[in-house]
Amino acid sequence: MSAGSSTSAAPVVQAEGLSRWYKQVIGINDVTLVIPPGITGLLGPNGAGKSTFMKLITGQIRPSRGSVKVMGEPVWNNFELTRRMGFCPEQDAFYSGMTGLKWVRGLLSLNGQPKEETERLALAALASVDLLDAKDKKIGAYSKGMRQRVKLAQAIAHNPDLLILDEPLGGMDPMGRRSTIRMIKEWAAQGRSIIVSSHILHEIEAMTSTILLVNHGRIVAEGNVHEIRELIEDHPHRIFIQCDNPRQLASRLVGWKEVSGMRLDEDGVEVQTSRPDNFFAMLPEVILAEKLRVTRLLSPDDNLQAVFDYLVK
Amino acid sequence: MNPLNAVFRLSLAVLFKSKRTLVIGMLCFLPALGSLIGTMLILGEVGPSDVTGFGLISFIIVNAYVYVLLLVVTLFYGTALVSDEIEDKTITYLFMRPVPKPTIYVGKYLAYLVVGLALLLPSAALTFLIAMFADPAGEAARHIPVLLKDLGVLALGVLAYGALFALVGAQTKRPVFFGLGFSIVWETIVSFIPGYLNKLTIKHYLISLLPHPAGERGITGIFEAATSAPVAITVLLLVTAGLLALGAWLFANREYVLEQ
Repeated sequence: MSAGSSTSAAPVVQAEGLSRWYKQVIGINDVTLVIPPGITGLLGPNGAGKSTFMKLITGQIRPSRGSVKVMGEPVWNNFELTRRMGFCPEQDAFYSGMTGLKWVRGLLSLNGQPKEETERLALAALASVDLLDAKDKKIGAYSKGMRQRVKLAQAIAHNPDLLILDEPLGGMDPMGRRSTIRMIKEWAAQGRSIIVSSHILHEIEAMTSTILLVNHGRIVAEGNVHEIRELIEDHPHRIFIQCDNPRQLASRLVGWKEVSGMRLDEDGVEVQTSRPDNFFAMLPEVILAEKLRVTRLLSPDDNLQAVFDYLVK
Repeated sequence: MNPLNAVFRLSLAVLFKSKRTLVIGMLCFLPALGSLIGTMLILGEVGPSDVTGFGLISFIIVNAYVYVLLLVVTLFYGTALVSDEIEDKTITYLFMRPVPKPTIYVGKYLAYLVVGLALLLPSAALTFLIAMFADPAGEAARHIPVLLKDLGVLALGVLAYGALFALVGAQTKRPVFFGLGFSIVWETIVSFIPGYLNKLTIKHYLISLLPHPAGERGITGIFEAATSAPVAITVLLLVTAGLLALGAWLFANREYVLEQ
């Protein structure tokens, strides 16, 4: 299965029966997937297995079973692959006492570039995350948002083809989130592939429509947001119709095979349907026939959060 | 920049800025203070009249440096080389760079060597030179080769113990406790056991190289049959190389699961 609509380009990640457990605890369980180029969002609640998946695709840990390839190459102990890969870990970890510039430059120097080139790339990376003014400040004095951005800077500094970002927006204020989302989109527009994880749906939605939903170590859904939504079309979907005569409307709807449940309120009817498209197609005819005045039509399940909540239940 | 050099420089910057260096650095200069006090007592003719500056320095080098400070410095720095990176969760950054893991390990070890030697050797030299003021000028100059040998022994100790404790730090969850246990049980208690068992300790070869009379090498010096200098140096270098190679190999093949 592919996480994206386009599978023609070479995949950035291929996993086959990928499992990883920590003694008795399952991190990732039997995951088979292909992640195409572009931005892919890894979405799931805390403890779902997102970080384990990211550690596996960055070669920090070995699979307990199955295999994983990144840009066509095996990952474990493949240090040359890291030239093409940038990783922003979730942990708020730094070498104490270092300034932002020294830290990024120090890590960048491990890539083996000449000193002048290292300096130039480190400054460019800090500029791209809006930290140039704070480059000589110690990281310990940075705000949480600045620390997140300096982690992004070290990930992007060597111009990798693939960026793997584990909860990059964690702890940021709304302004910081917005600018980071913009940066991530810009990096993708420059031709990079990005795998970004979050447990917050709207963060992912703001970056991409290609998502992997992870829960309990499994990929519970993958693909385009709209494709994922279709996955639950066969399951009950709530629709609330506010009108001037809810009882009359309910009496008409009760016989429909599309309606699997109903709740009558003072000001409207909440319907459960497994075929919302059919239901919406038929509803106007009833409204017209019964001469009902509909003041509100709500579909509380018709958003990604509902899809997410449903799938991770 | 060469990756080994880059790891070395980065690790050196981290080590020099650590609080550990401040604390252990201060500790390393305590013997110099002891030497100063001892020298003043000798010059003021307080205490036994047969105590000389050379006797004082022999006592301090053996008991303060070889038995205590050498183990403290190598234990706390050696075990921390990898374990600090794991505890602080910074090892991820090193693993996400195109540097072979054995190079990371060796680069960090080299940085440790610089810090370890920088902490121990100047303080030992200072301690030595202060004590020499208690002896006549000609005597002091005669003992300079002894100082150089002492510094050489300490340097070999930093090499060998560092390789050992780096391995411990890379492979165990509580490396300091393990290292302390090793230092106390193996390196100290086994040293007191007459026979060949003490030749399995690093300390035996260091003591064998010390250019001080057996009685001034401490109680173990009295019991031990010293190993010749060429053999002792060869053993220490081979032990260092072997432990370093083993540590680098294990480091490269072990996965480090950081706690969430």
